[in-house]
Parts: sequence; structure tokens; C-alpha cells
Amino acid sequence: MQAFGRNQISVPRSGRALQQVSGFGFQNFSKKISSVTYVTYTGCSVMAYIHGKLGIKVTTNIHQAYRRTSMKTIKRRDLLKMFSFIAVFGGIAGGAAYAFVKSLFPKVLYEPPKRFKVGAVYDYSDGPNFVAEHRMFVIKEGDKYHSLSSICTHLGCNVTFIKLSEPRTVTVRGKEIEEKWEFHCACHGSKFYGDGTPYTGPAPSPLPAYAMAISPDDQQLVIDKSREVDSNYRLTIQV
Amino acid sequence: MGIWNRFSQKVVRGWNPVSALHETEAIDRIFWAHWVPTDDDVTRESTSATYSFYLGTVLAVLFSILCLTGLMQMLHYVPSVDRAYWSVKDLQFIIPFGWFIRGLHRTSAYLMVIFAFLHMSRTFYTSAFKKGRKSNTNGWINWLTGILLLVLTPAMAYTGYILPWDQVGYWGATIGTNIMKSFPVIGDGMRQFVIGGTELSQDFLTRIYAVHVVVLPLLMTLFISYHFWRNKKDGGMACDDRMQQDEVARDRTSGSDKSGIDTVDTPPERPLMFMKRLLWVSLATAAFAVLLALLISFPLSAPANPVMAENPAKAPWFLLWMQELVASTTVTIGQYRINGGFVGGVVIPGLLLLSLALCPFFDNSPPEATGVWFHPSRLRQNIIFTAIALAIILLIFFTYFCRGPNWVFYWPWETWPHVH
Ligand code: FES
Repeated sequence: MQAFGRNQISVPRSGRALQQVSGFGFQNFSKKISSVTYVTYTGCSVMAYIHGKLGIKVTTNIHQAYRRTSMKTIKRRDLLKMFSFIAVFGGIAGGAAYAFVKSLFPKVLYEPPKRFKVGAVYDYSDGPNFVAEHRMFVIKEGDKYHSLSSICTHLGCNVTFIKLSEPRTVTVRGKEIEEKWEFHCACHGSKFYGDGTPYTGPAPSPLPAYAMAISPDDQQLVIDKSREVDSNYRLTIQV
Repeated sequence: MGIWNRFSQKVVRGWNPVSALHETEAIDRIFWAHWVPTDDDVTRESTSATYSFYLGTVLAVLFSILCLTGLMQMLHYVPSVDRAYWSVKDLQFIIPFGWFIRGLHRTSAYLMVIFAFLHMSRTFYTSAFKKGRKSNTNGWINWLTGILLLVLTPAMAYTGYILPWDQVGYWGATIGTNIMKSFPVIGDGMRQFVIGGTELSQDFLTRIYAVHVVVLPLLMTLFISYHFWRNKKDGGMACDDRMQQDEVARDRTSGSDKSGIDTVDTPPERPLMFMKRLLWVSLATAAFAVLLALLISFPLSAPANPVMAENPAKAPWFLLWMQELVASTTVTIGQYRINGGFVGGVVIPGLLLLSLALCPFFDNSPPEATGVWFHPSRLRQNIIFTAIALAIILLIFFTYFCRGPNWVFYWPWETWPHVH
């Protein structure tokens, strides 16, 4: 049985008798043969299933097939249908998607405030003091105070402060400074000078310094993490 | 007749094939076998153990073990920053055989990372990713799906690594999310999106938990299924083109006409035999994972301490090569310094993945090379691939053994100085 061909599918009207049946293929069931075709007529539609190696399934409504072959342009009604379909269901789906994404950005963060008190002035001794709770160093030099973040600018590990056995002079951005301590990061070996400037390792930028103040109510030191200042910033407090 | 045969005849199959040819009907007759490809679907070489080493099967089995042990762990684990660590500790020390479940989950996860890599290498060395000449062979689609799975696998392992909320997990997460942050322009937003705020906290753990137990496994299942299906549709392990020619030759000589009677002298590969082989591979994989789980212990590190990283703080072994890269690829261009996190954590791995993905489109070796191990025409490709793979493996070993406190180089036999 080798009656096989798709070239001449007739296009009958619904209810009319079929005139020609030459889209009808029925090859054989051998394992070696690649395709078996059945054509079934149900009312006005032709359904052709081509099974086998190709794995293709074709379902055709005969009127649609007719229309597609005879008209090259899209009907206005079809276009409007498509647009309204997209508008309605796309709108609904898009709105839902927007809501889902939006829900992942909370409106309120229950996180520590950016401005916080870090204790009384006399709690601090000369040199860097690590305030673990806020991951900050409060650095006291006589009556001058400033603060440095302890978050490594490379990938966010915590830098530790290393006291040098004797002060040394280093050149930072063309300026000579004397440093008594340094900051080292354990994660990938970045090292920072006493003023927070990186000199070795992968850290790309200096440890940020933040503005400080004295709180008017209880005279505690205040760090304002929302205000970054440059490394020369000092808060002077005369006691 | 052995017990297995009697049991399988009564319960599993309920049908007894009388001849080899009859047995090819197994897939229609037996529910358990209906998804197995036949000789008609795939080339015979596809079922050969020395061609594919059944690496994909091994991976699928490992994934099932992970789902099962994962489910068992979900019954004990509490995804809360205060309790996560202690619930894992209970799992390890108090819950009967909790250590085993956790160990099996870990070993399977690590094995899965290793086997995914091996599977990808196998596909590369046999150039199974090539687009076949036949219209229905689409090796490249499965290659791209495979790359997706290759990314999903370590992503699963990494998110799982964070969940115990211990020191290594916490700092691993810190570094990972900061790599994301180092992305220009959208980095900050991306990090906020992932961690649900500006600091690692409960929101982040909840998200990672959901991603680890729902999102990634679902995606995994989806793509694994597609990977299987696609492979069957493509006619097996991409040796189709070459086999096709053999087949044509064979058909011509064997006098097979298209009359429905198969006169080819060799019997078709029997699906039941293939099923049996799959079963053996699965059992062997499971046994191997269990054995490793019994032999290796996976200690928890200290509970997460947000103000003090371990020194050295090392990533899980399969990410160590990236950790070494992020530590050494900060570059200065003019007055700009580009964070190594971006170069080593995003650009280099991204480029590697991209070049992998482009392989099928730029490999112009002849069709005869498809499905052949180390075909001479692909010498150049194979050398480059091997060099990159070796570099990654060497970097992992180097970082594992030679990086001490403060990321300083030490020989493996040197003792590290004591730090804080
Ligand atoms: S996080 Fe400090 S050097 Fe990488």
C-alpha cells in the first residue's frame, strides 16, 4: 500500500460528500518504515497524523486551510481579535507578574538605622576601636575622632585592625602620612593603610569614612552612615 | 527461573516475551518501560556503556537521591536565622541517622557537580553537540539545555551550602551577593532583590530556602525531562548521522523491503535489556553515594558570626577556582579600578559559559566526527577545552591546599601561623 501524497487534499463544504480522497496515506507498520499516515474526515475538518521518525502531527481544519491558501492578507477582524486577546490576557498576566516582582522589594526594611549612637566619648581609647554591632571602627587620636567602616570594599568580609610594632611612613596619593596601624582582610588578602586606602590585594577602593557628631541629649558619639566623608574628616571634641 | 524473573513476570511485566523480536514490544506492553527508547528511536551505539558511560543516568539517579534526602531534611530544618544552625546541629547529632541523611545529601550533591562536569566533557570530546545533517537531529538544543543544567547544579549546591547558616555558609553568601553587587549599574538593585534588603538577614535566608527547595528543583526536573525527551527525539547520543549511513548500507545488503517483515539479521536492541542496564547503573550509583556518605564526615563550622569571618574563609570546593579568580583579578584601567569580584566572578565565568554555548555553531569539523571520541579533526578544540578544564581543576587544588590565613601562599606541607 503506497498510496501516499499530500498534494491534492480536496476542500469540501461541511455536509457535502467528499469528491476526492487523495490525501490518504496508509503505508505499513514495519519498524523500518518511517511514517504512517491516517486521514480522518469528521464533518468539515481533516485531521492528518503523521507518526514515526519525524514525529510530526498536523491537524488542519479544512476551512482554515482553504482560507489560508486563498487569502494573503489578515482580516481586520482577526487583527482586532488578536489585539484584544493580547490586551486582556496580556494585561492580566502582566499585572500579576508586576505584583509578584514588586512583592519582593519590601517597603519597610527592619534594619538597623543609618544613624546610630556608639557610646560615650570616654569609652574610647586611642587608636581604632571596633564597634562590632555596627561593623565600624571609631578611631580616636587625642581629641580628634573619625570613623571607618570595617566592611572590606572587595567583597564584604570584615577587616581586622593590625597594630604595627612601630609607626611607619607611607605615601598615600602623593602625601606622606605616618601610620600606627593597618587594616587587613582575611578573605582574599586585601590590606589597607591606617587611613583606609588599599595598597595590596583585590580591594578596589578605600574603606569608607562616615560623618560623626555628638548627640545633644546624652552626649554620646553618633555615626551617620548615610553621609560619607573624605579621609581627612575629623570631629574634634574638647572635654 | 530465578526469583527475580518469576516476580517480574507476575508483577512487573505480566507478559512474557517469546523471542527477541517479540521483546521489542516491551515498551508498548510494560508501563515501566514505556519511556525507554527502542532501536527505532535511537541508535544502538547510544546504549553502549563505553560510548556514554551512562553519565546522564548517574546524574538523574543522584538527583533523585537528592530529592529524597532533601525531603527528609526538610522535616527537621528550620529556615530561621536564629534556629537554622541549631536545627542542622540536631540533625547531625540528635536525630537518628540524621548524620547519614545529611551526609548522603552532601555526597550526592558533590558527586552531581563532578558528574555534571564529566558529562559535559564527554559530550564535548565526542562532539555530540553538533547539529546533525538530518532535520530531526538537534544536538545543539540539548547542548544548551545541558549548559543550563550545568549552571543549575552548582547553584543548587551553593544555595544548599548557605542554609545551615554557619560561618562558611554565611560568608559564602556574603561574598556571593557582593559579587552580584559588583555588577556595574544594576548590581546594587540585583543584590537588594536577592537578599530582600541591604544586609543578610532573615529575608535572605527565607529566599534562599525557597529557591533551594522549590525553584531550582522544579527547574531541574523540567530541564532534565526535556533533556531526556530531546535526546530520544534526536535519535540518541548524537551518533545518528554516522549510524544512518551504516544503516542505509545494511538495509541495502540485508534485503529488507518495506513490507513489514524485518529481515535484518541482527536482532534489535532489546528494551528490557536496556532497562536492566539502567537499573544496574542506578543501583551502583546509589551504592557508591551511600558508601561515600558513610566514609566522609561533613562537619559544621561555627555558627554564623557577622563580624568575624573565618581566616581563611574558603568557598565550597567547586567554587574555589572562582574565589581564586575574584581574589586576583582586580584590574586598574586608567583611574578606574575594576573589582575582581566583577572580573573573576562575573566576566570570566560568563565568557567561559558563553564560549561553551557557542561551540555547536563554530565547530566545523566534518559530520564523521559526530559521536566519535577524540576525533582527529577536532584536535584543536579538544586541546583548548582540556587546557581550560585542567586550569580550573588545578586552580581548585591550588586554592584548596596552598591558600592560608589572609590568603597568603603556603606550601601544603607548611603549617599555618595562628591568627586571631
Ligand atoms: S573581601 Fe576583603 S579581600 Fe575579598
